[in-house]
Amino acid sequence: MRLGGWCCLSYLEQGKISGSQLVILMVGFLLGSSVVIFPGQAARQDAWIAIIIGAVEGGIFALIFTTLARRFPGKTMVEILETVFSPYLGKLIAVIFVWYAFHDGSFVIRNFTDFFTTTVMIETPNIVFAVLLTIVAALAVGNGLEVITRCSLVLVPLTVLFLLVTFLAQLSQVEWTNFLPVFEIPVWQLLKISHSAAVFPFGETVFFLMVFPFLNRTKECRRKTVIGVLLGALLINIIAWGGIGVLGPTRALFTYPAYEVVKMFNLPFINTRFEIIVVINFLTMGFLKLAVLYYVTVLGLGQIFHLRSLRPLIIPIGILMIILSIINFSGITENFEFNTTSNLIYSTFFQLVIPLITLIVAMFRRLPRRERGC
Amino acid sequence: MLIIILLVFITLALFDLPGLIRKKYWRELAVYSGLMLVALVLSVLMLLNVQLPAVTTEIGNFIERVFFKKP
Repeated sequence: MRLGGWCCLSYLEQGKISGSQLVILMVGFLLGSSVVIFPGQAARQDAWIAIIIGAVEGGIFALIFTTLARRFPGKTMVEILETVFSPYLGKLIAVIFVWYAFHDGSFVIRNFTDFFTTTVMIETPNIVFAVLLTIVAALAVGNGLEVITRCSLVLVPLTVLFLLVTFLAQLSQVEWTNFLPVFEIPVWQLLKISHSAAVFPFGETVFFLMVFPFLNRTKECRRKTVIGVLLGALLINIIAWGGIGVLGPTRALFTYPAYEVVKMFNLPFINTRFEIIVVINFLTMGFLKLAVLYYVTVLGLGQIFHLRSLRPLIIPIGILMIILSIINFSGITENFEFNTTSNLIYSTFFQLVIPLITLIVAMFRRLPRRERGC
Repeated sequence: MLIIILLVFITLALFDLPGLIRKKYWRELAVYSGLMLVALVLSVLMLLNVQLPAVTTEIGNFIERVFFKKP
């Protein structure tokens, strides 16, 4: 339902992306924070099982919201919400959805600054990293979705290459007994940890609901999303295997297992700090994840207010994201506590409940209405 | 420090405001001003070391109170 030429979607964003570009963008998004903190760590040596189950659950979420996207081709989530629910209720839910993207972006900035100030550049104040990352992400967002996708086409294969190289290099140091005993933790707890892996990062693909309208063929979104989730799961599993196999029970000591694993490399020809590869991975993938979340927030807010240009939104939202990333937590342990308890319900609400209810209401109301002649 | 924050915000506004006013995008101007004002107020509050609510912790407490009922 187009309100007028100047506020339809193609006025705000002219870019188009292909299906395979979407897969690569999605893999980069999923690798986002997981290159340094892989999900499912609470399951100790069964983390890889938690990741696989979490990926399956994330795939189920993906099936639900891609069904919604296929039902409304060419519409972003905000437009779908305004169509399915009344314009006012739809706008309200859209605001909450965009808030979630905004909040997640502040988490990415927070993880980024925490990582850099605890590992590589310890004396630099936090805000420097936040500002630098946000400036680069703002430049990417200002140039549109196609530019972000083209960045991912370069950065993601590079990161995958680095991941494979580090995995092969650490194979000699992997103690296969570290994976035993398998299924040591009770099943109920394993399912809970798998749900936390499903919610972070696989369920966050729900934000691509704002990206699907820009696919060349919107019908492909379901297949490409599932492929993206599976590939992301495979790559994150590779990181997890390294973390579990090499570090073993000492994994619990480290906040960033992937970083510590690469620190332990004993290659004959490299004498320097090889772990900078993990830093580069996080630098590029963190940027990509933030760019996507930033873009979703800006586009969502622009559509909620029916704006004619997204450019004026970029700077204020960037500043607010940085501010939120600083005031987010009242202490250092709150991050961990939130992620293991409240995040399970908080994120599930946005990743499963909102798309599912929207889909059910849309089916109930038999939307989109088939117009005569279509 | 307060002067620096004000200067930064004025510089950022100089990037966007002339374009918006020239094109007469009043709605965009309203949204931009609203968001920038919120950002300015929050930055100044942070500078003055006012205790701002820890958003995620508050959300966590709310969810714990509603969903995790302690028997």
